[in-house]
Amino acid sequence: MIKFIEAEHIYLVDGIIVPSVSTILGATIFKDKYANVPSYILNAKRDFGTNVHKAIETGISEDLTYEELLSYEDYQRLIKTHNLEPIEHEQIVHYDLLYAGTFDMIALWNEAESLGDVKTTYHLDKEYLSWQLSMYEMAYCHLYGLDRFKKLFAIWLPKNRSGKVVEIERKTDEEVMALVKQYHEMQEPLPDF
Amino acid sequence: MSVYKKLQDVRVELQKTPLKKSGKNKHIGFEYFELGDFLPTVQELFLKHKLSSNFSIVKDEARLLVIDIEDSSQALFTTPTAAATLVKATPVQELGAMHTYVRRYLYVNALEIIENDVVDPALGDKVPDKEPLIDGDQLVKISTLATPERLEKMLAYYKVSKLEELTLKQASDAIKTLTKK
Repeated sequence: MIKFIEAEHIYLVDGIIVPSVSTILGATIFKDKYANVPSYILNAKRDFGTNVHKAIETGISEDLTYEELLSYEDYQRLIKTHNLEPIEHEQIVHYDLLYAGTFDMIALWNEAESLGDVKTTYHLDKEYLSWQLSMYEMAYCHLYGLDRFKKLFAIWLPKNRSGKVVEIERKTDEEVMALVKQYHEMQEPLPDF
Repeated sequence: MSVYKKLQDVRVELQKTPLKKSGKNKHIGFEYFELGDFLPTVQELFLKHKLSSNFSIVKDEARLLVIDIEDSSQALFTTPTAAATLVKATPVQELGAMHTYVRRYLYVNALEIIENDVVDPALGDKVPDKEPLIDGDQLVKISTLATPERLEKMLAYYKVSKLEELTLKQASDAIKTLTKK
Protein backbone atom coordinates (compact mmCIF):
# COMPACT_ATOMS: atom_id res chain seq x y z
CA MET A 1 0.00 0.00 0.00
CA ILE A 2 1.27 3.46 -0.86
CA LYS A 3 0.98 6.44 1.43
CA PHE A 4 1.92 10.03 0.61
CA ILE A 5 3.09 12.23 3.47
CA GLU A 6 2.34 15.65 2.05
CA ALA A 7 4.21 17.82 4.56
CA GLU A 8 7.51 16.11 3.76
CA HIS A 9 6.58 15.12 0.21
CA ILE A 10 7.51 11.52 0.99
CA TYR A 11 6.06 8.35 -0.52
CA LEU A 12 5.93 5.27 1.73
CA VAL A 13 5.25 1.83 0.28
CA ASP A 14 4.69 -0.72 3.03
CA GLY A 15 6.60 1.52 5.43
CA ILE A 16 9.58 2.00 3.11
CA ILE A 17 10.49 5.40 1.69
CA VAL A 18 10.34 5.23 -2.09
CA PRO A 19 12.10 8.00 -4.04
CA SER A 20 9.90 10.25 -6.12
CA VAL A 21 10.35 10.67 -9.85
CA SER A 22 11.58 14.23 -9.32
CA THR A 23 14.05 13.05 -6.64
CA ILE A 24 15.54 10.52 -9.06
CA LEU A 25 15.72 12.97 -11.94
CA GLY A 26 17.13 15.72 -9.70
CA ALA A 27 19.85 13.40 -8.37
CA THR A 28 20.91 12.04 -11.75
CA ILE A 29 20.54 13.61 -15.19
CA PHE A 30 18.96 16.88 -14.07
CA LYS A 31 21.30 17.56 -11.18
CA ASP A 32 21.87 21.21 -12.04
CA LYS A 33 18.42 22.02 -13.31
CA TYR A 34 17.64 24.54 -10.56
CA ALA A 35 21.15 24.97 -9.15
CA ASN A 36 21.37 28.68 -9.97
CA VAL A 37 17.83 29.65 -9.09
CA PRO A 38 17.41 31.30 -5.67
CA SER A 39 15.13 29.44 -3.27
CA TYR A 40 12.62 32.28 -3.02
CA ILE A 41 12.05 32.10 -6.77
CA LEU A 42 11.64 28.33 -6.69
CA ASN A 43 9.13 28.71 -3.88
CA ALA A 44 7.16 31.39 -5.67
CA LYS A 45 7.11 29.35 -8.87
CA ARG A 46 6.12 26.23 -6.99
CA ASP A 47 3.23 28.05 -5.28
CA PHE A 48 2.05 29.44 -8.60
CA GLY A 49 2.16 25.98 -10.19
CA THR A 50 0.47 24.33 -7.22
CA ASN A 51 -2.41 26.80 -7.26
CA VAL A 52 -3.00 26.44 -11.00
CA HIS A 53 -2.80 22.63 -10.74
CA LYS A 54 -5.29 22.65 -7.88
CA ALA A 55 -7.75 24.73 -9.87
CA ILE A 56 -7.38 22.40 -12.86
CA GLU A 57 -8.04 19.39 -10.64
CA THR A 58 -11.02 20.82 -8.77
CA GLY A 59 -12.43 23.29 -11.28
CA ILE A 60 -12.50 25.91 -8.51
CA SER A 61 -10.77 29.12 -9.51
CA GLU A 62 -12.11 31.63 -6.96
CA ASP A 63 -8.95 31.76 -4.85
CA LEU A 64 -6.53 32.25 -7.71
CA THR A 65 -4.51 35.41 -8.13
CA TYR A 66 -4.96 37.39 -11.33
CA GLU A 67 -1.91 35.80 -13.00
CA GLU A 68 -2.95 32.31 -11.92
CA LEU A 69 -6.44 32.87 -13.25
CA LEU A 70 -5.02 33.83 -16.66
CA SER A 71 -3.11 30.54 -16.77
CA TYR A 72 -6.20 28.60 -15.73
CA GLU A 73 -8.25 30.27 -18.47
CA ASP A 74 -5.48 29.48 -20.93
CA TYR A 75 -5.73 25.83 -19.87
CA GLN A 76 -9.47 25.80 -20.51
CA ARG A 77 -8.96 27.31 -23.93
CA LEU A 78 -6.33 24.69 -24.79
CA ILE A 79 -8.35 21.63 -23.79
CA LYS A 80 -11.24 22.88 -25.92
CA THR A 81 -9.21 23.68 -29.00
CA HIS A 82 -7.16 20.44 -28.82
CA ASN A 83 -10.07 18.13 -28.14
CA LEU A 84 -8.71 17.03 -24.77
CA GLU A 85 -11.04 15.51 -22.22
CA PRO A 86 -9.46 14.88 -18.80
CA ILE A 87 -10.77 11.69 -17.21
CA GLU A 88 -8.40 11.33 -14.25
CA HIS A 89 -6.47 13.90 -12.19
CA GLU A 90 -3.54 13.75 -9.76
CA GLN A 91 -3.08 10.04 -9.24
CA ILE A 92 -0.31 8.53 -7.12
CA VAL A 93 1.54 5.65 -8.72
CA HIS A 94 4.57 3.57 -7.81
CA TYR A 95 6.76 0.94 -9.39
CA ASP A 96 7.27 -1.56 -6.59
CA LEU A 97 9.86 -0.08 -4.21
CA LEU A 98 11.81 1.56 -7.02
CA TYR A 99 10.06 4.91 -7.44
CA ALA A 100 6.78 6.75 -6.95
CA GLY A 101 5.10 9.91 -8.11
CA THR A 102 1.87 11.72 -8.82
CA PHE A 103 0.88 12.35 -12.40
CA ASP A 104 -1.28 15.29 -13.43
CA MET A 105 -3.84 13.71 -15.72
CA ILE A 106 -5.09 11.01 -17.99
CA ALA A 107 -7.10 12.53 -20.82
CA LEU A 108 -8.79 11.48 -23.99
CA TRP A 109 -6.86 13.30 -26.69
CA ASN A 110 -8.86 12.99 -29.88
CA GLU A 111 -10.54 10.08 -28.11
CA ALA A 112 -7.31 8.17 -27.39
CA GLU A 113 -6.21 7.68 -23.77
CA SER A 114 -3.10 9.75 -23.16
CA LEU A 115 -1.02 10.70 -20.15
CA GLY A 116 -0.28 14.35 -19.54
CA ASP A 117 1.47 16.84 -17.36
CA VAL A 118 0.74 20.53 -16.85
CA LYS A 119 3.69 22.92 -16.76
CA THR A 120 3.55 26.59 -15.82
CA THR A 121 7.26 27.21 -16.35
CA TYR A 122 8.79 29.90 -18.54
CA HIS A 123 10.68 27.30 -20.59
CA LEU A 124 9.29 23.89 -21.53
CA ASP A 125 11.88 21.24 -20.80
CA LYS A 126 10.81 18.44 -23.14
CA GLU A 127 13.65 16.15 -22.12
CA TYR A 128 12.69 16.38 -18.46
CA LEU A 129 9.05 15.78 -19.37
CA SER A 130 10.01 12.79 -21.48
CA TRP A 131 11.64 11.11 -18.49
CA GLN A 132 8.95 12.20 -16.06
CA LEU A 133 5.99 11.02 -18.13
CA SER A 134 7.69 7.80 -19.22
CA MET A 135 8.32 6.95 -15.57
CA TYR A 136 4.72 7.69 -14.57
CA GLU A 137 3.43 5.69 -17.51
CA MET A 138 5.62 2.71 -16.72
CA ALA A 139 4.55 2.72 -13.07
CA TYR A 140 0.86 3.10 -13.89
CA CYS A 141 0.85 0.32 -16.48
CA HIS A 142 2.88 -1.97 -14.20
CA LEU A 143 0.56 -1.29 -11.27
CA TYR A 144 -2.64 -2.03 -13.17
CA GLY A 145 -1.30 -4.47 -15.78
CA LEU A 146 -2.28 -2.17 -18.64
CA ASP A 147 -0.86 -1.39 -22.07
CA ARG A 148 0.93 1.88 -22.76
CA PHE A 149 -1.02 5.07 -23.42
CA LYS A 150 -1.56 6.28 -26.94
CA LYS A 151 0.42 9.46 -26.37
CA LEU A 152 2.29 11.43 -23.75
CA PHE A 153 1.68 15.16 -23.73
CA ALA A 154 2.31 18.40 -21.90
CA ILE A 155 -0.07 21.28 -21.45
CA TRP A 156 2.28 24.22 -21.29
CA LEU A 157 0.98 27.38 -19.64
CA PRO A 158 3.63 30.11 -19.71
CA LYS A 159 2.49 33.42 -18.23
CA ASN A 160 2.06 35.25 -21.52
CA ARG A 161 -1.08 33.25 -22.35
CA SER A 162 0.48 31.61 -25.36
CA GLY A 163 -0.05 28.11 -23.97
CA LYS A 164 0.44 25.02 -26.09
CA VAL A 165 -0.29 21.33 -26.08
CA VAL A 166 2.89 19.48 -26.95
CA GLU A 167 3.35 15.80 -27.65
CA ILE A 168 6.22 14.32 -25.64
CA GLU A 169 8.52 11.55 -26.79
CA ARG A 170 8.64 8.39 -24.74
CA LYS A 171 11.75 6.83 -23.17
CA THR A 172 12.09 3.08 -23.46
CA ASP A 173 11.52 0.85 -20.43
CA GLU A 174 15.21 -0.09 -20.57
CA GLU A 175 16.28 3.56 -20.41
CA VAL A 176 13.98 4.23 -17.45
CA MET A 177 15.14 1.15 -15.58
CA ALA A 178 18.81 1.97 -16.17
CA LEU A 179 18.27 5.43 -14.67
CA VAL A 180 16.38 4.08 -11.68
CA LYS A 181 19.14 1.53 -11.11
CA GLN A 182 21.76 4.27 -11.31
CA TYR A 183 19.92 6.23 -8.61
CA HIS A 184 19.55 3.26 -6.27
CA GLU A 185 23.21 2.36 -6.64
CA MET A 186 24.08 5.84 -5.38
CA GLN A 187 22.29 5.25 -2.07
CA GLU A 188 23.98 4.35 1.20
CA PRO A 189 24.12 0.67 2.10
CA LEU A 190 21.52 -0.63 4.53
CA PRO A 191 22.28 -0.78 8.25
CA ASP A 192 23.38 -4.08 9.64
CA PHE A 193 21.82 -5.20 12.89
CA MET B 1 41.31 51.14 -10.50
CA SER B 2 38.77 48.55 -11.70
CA VAL B 3 35.18 48.41 -10.59
CA TYR B 4 35.91 45.13 -8.80
CA LYS B 5 38.64 46.64 -6.64
CA LYS B 6 36.33 49.51 -5.67
CA LEU B 7 33.48 47.12 -5.02
CA GLN B 8 35.69 45.12 -2.71
CA ASP B 9 36.65 48.31 -0.83
CA VAL B 10 32.98 49.13 -0.42
CA ARG B 11 32.24 45.61 0.84
CA VAL B 12 34.96 45.83 3.48
CA GLU B 13 33.91 49.31 4.60
CA LEU B 14 30.30 48.23 4.71
CA GLN B 15 31.02 45.23 6.92
CA LYS B 16 32.69 47.57 9.42
CA THR B 17 29.56 49.72 9.56
CA PRO B 18 26.98 48.67 12.14
CA LEU B 19 23.72 48.02 10.33
CA LYS B 20 20.41 47.29 11.99
CA LYS B 21 18.07 44.63 10.64
CA SER B 22 14.58 46.08 10.65
CA GLY B 23 12.79 43.32 8.71
CA LYS B 24 11.27 40.47 10.65
CA ASN B 25 9.90 37.15 9.41
CA LYS B 26 6.97 36.45 11.70
CA HIS B 27 6.62 32.83 10.57
CA ILE B 28 10.15 31.80 11.33
CA GLY B 29 11.20 34.51 13.75
CA PHE B 30 14.39 35.76 12.22
CA GLU B 31 15.44 39.28 11.33
CA TYR B 32 16.76 40.42 7.98
CA PHE B 33 18.03 43.52 6.24
CA GLU B 34 15.51 45.60 4.40
CA LEU B 35 16.71 47.77 1.51
CA GLY B 36 16.44 50.89 3.69
CA ASP B 37 18.76 49.36 6.29
CA PHE B 38 21.78 49.34 4.04
CA LEU B 39 21.05 51.30 0.87
CA PRO B 40 21.73 54.82 2.27
CA THR B 41 25.13 53.64 3.59
CA VAL B 42 25.87 51.89 0.30
CA GLN B 43 25.04 55.05 -1.65
CA GLU B 44 27.42 57.07 0.56
CA LEU B 45 30.18 54.52 0.00
CA PHE B 46 29.49 54.38 -3.74
CA LEU B 47 29.76 58.16 -3.88
CA LYS B 48 33.00 58.11 -1.93
CA HIS B 49 34.53 55.48 -4.25
CA LYS B 50 32.99 57.00 -7.37
CA LEU B 51 30.73 54.10 -8.17
CA SER B 52 27.19 54.16 -9.43
CA SER B 53 24.53 51.45 -9.64
CA ASN B 54 21.61 50.78 -11.90
CA PHE B 55 18.82 48.29 -11.26
CA SER B 56 16.69 47.03 -14.14
CA ILE B 57 14.50 44.13 -15.20
CA VAL B 58 14.79 42.78 -18.72
CA LYS B 59 12.31 40.04 -19.59
CA ASP B 60 12.60 37.50 -16.76
CA GLU B 61 15.95 38.66 -15.48
CA ALA B 62 16.71 41.30 -12.86
CA ARG B 63 20.03 43.09 -13.21
CA LEU B 64 22.17 45.23 -10.97
CA LEU B 65 24.89 47.02 -12.86
CA VAL B 66 27.68 48.60 -10.82
CA ILE B 67 29.64 51.17 -12.80
CA ASP B 68 32.96 52.81 -12.07
CA ILE B 69 32.30 56.46 -12.89
CA GLU B 70 35.99 57.11 -13.44
CA ASP B 71 36.87 54.47 -16.03
CA SER B 72 33.39 53.15 -17.00
CA SER B 73 34.26 49.56 -16.07
CA GLN B 74 31.20 47.59 -15.01
CA ALA B 75 30.18 44.62 -12.87
CA LEU B 76 26.85 42.97 -13.63
CA PHE B 77 24.85 40.92 -11.13
CA THR B 78 21.77 39.06 -12.33
CA THR B 79 19.03 36.85 -11.01
CA PRO B 80 15.94 35.27 -12.58
CA THR B 81 12.66 36.83 -11.47
CA ALA B 82 9.38 35.30 -10.45
CA ALA B 83 5.94 36.56 -9.62
CA ALA B 84 5.47 37.33 -5.93
CA THR B 85 2.07 35.84 -5.20
CA LEU B 86 0.63 37.81 -2.30
CA VAL B 87 -2.74 37.28 -0.70
CA LYS B 88 -5.29 39.93 -1.67
CA ALA B 89 -2.81 42.00 -3.63
CA THR B 90 -3.41 43.65 -6.99
CA PRO B 91 -1.13 42.70 -9.90
CA VAL B 92 0.60 46.09 -9.54
CA GLN B 93 1.28 45.46 -5.83
CA GLU B 94 2.65 42.01 -6.65
CA LEU B 95 4.90 43.56 -9.30
CA GLY B 96 6.16 46.12 -6.78
CA ALA B 97 6.83 43.39 -4.22
CA MET B 98 8.82 41.39 -6.74
CA HIS B 99 10.88 44.48 -7.73
CA THR B 100 11.72 45.30 -4.12
CA TYR B 101 12.60 41.70 -3.39
CA VAL B 102 14.95 41.09 -6.29
CA ARG B 103 16.53 44.51 -5.83
CA ARG B 104 17.33 43.70 -2.20
CA TYR B 105 18.54 40.26 -3.23
CA LEU B 106 20.90 41.69 -5.85
CA TYR B 107 22.41 44.28 -3.47
CA VAL B 108 22.90 41.63 -0.78
CA ASN B 109 24.60 39.52 -3.42
CA ALA B 110 26.74 42.26 -4.96
CA LEU B 111 27.90 43.59 -1.60
CA GLU B 112 28.18 40.17 0.01
CA ILE B 113 26.11 41.26 2.97
CA ILE B 114 25.84 38.40 5.43
CA GLU B 115 22.25 37.33 5.93
CA ASN B 116 20.49 34.31 7.33
CA ASP B 117 20.77 31.36 4.95
CA VAL B 118 17.06 31.42 4.49
CA VAL B 119 15.83 34.87 3.46
CA ASP B 120 12.26 35.09 2.53
CA PRO B 121 10.13 37.35 4.67
CA ALA B 122 7.39 38.08 2.15
CA LEU B 123 6.83 34.59 0.87
CA GLY B 124 7.46 32.66 4.09
CA ASP B 125 10.34 30.56 2.85
CA LYS B 126 10.60 27.13 4.45
CA VAL B 127 13.37 26.43 6.95
CA PRO B 128 14.55 22.88 7.22
CA ASP B 129 12.26 21.17 9.69
CA LYS B 130 13.26 18.51 12.14
CA GLU B 131 13.57 15.04 10.65
CA PRO B 132 10.08 13.53 10.53
CA LEU B 133 9.54 10.75 13.04
CA ILE B 134 8.46 7.17 12.48
CA ASP B 135 5.03 6.69 10.93
CA GLY B 136 2.30 4.61 12.60
CA ASP B 137 2.38 1.96 9.86
CA GLN B 138 6.14 1.66 10.20
CA LEU B 139 5.82 1.18 13.94
CA VAL B 140 3.41 -1.72 13.45
CA LYS B 141 5.54 -3.20 10.69
CA ILE B 142 8.79 -3.17 12.70
CA SER B 143 7.07 -4.53 15.79
CA THR B 144 5.73 -7.41 13.70
CA LEU B 145 8.96 -8.14 11.84
CA ALA B 146 11.60 -7.85 14.55
CA THR B 147 12.30 -10.44 17.22
CA PRO B 148 12.97 -8.94 20.69
CA GLU B 149 16.69 -9.63 20.20
CA ARG B 150 16.83 -7.92 16.85
CA LEU B 151 14.75 -5.03 18.14
CA GLU B 152 17.26 -4.48 20.89
CA LYS B 153 20.15 -4.52 18.43
CA MET B 154 18.33 -2.11 16.19
CA LEU B 155 17.64 0.40 18.98
CA ALA B 156 21.30 0.20 20.00
CA TYR B 157 22.38 0.73 16.39
CA TYR B 158 20.32 3.91 16.13
CA LYS B 159 21.17 4.97 19.69
CA VAL B 160 17.54 5.37 20.75
CA SER B 161 15.69 3.86 23.70
CA LYS B 162 12.37 3.12 22.00
CA LEU B 163 10.92 2.70 18.53
CA GLU B 164 9.00 5.98 18.69
CA GLU B 165 12.29 7.88 18.67
CA LEU B 166 13.31 6.60 15.24
CA THR B 167 13.04 8.95 12.30
CA LEU B 168 10.96 8.08 9.27
CA LYS B 169 14.14 7.41 7.28
CA GLN B 170 15.65 5.20 9.98
CA ALA B 171 12.40 3.26 10.27
CA SER B 172 12.32 2.85 6.49
CA ASP B 173 15.90 1.53 6.45
CA ALA B 174 15.09 -0.75 9.38
CA ILE B 175 12.13 -2.27 7.53
CA LYS B 176 14.31 -2.78 4.46
CA THR B 177 16.93 -4.53 6.58
CA LEU B 178 14.36 -6.65 8.37
CA THR B 179 12.74 -7.77 5.11
CA LYS B 180 16.01 -8.30 3.26
CA LYS B 181 16.28 -11.83 1.96
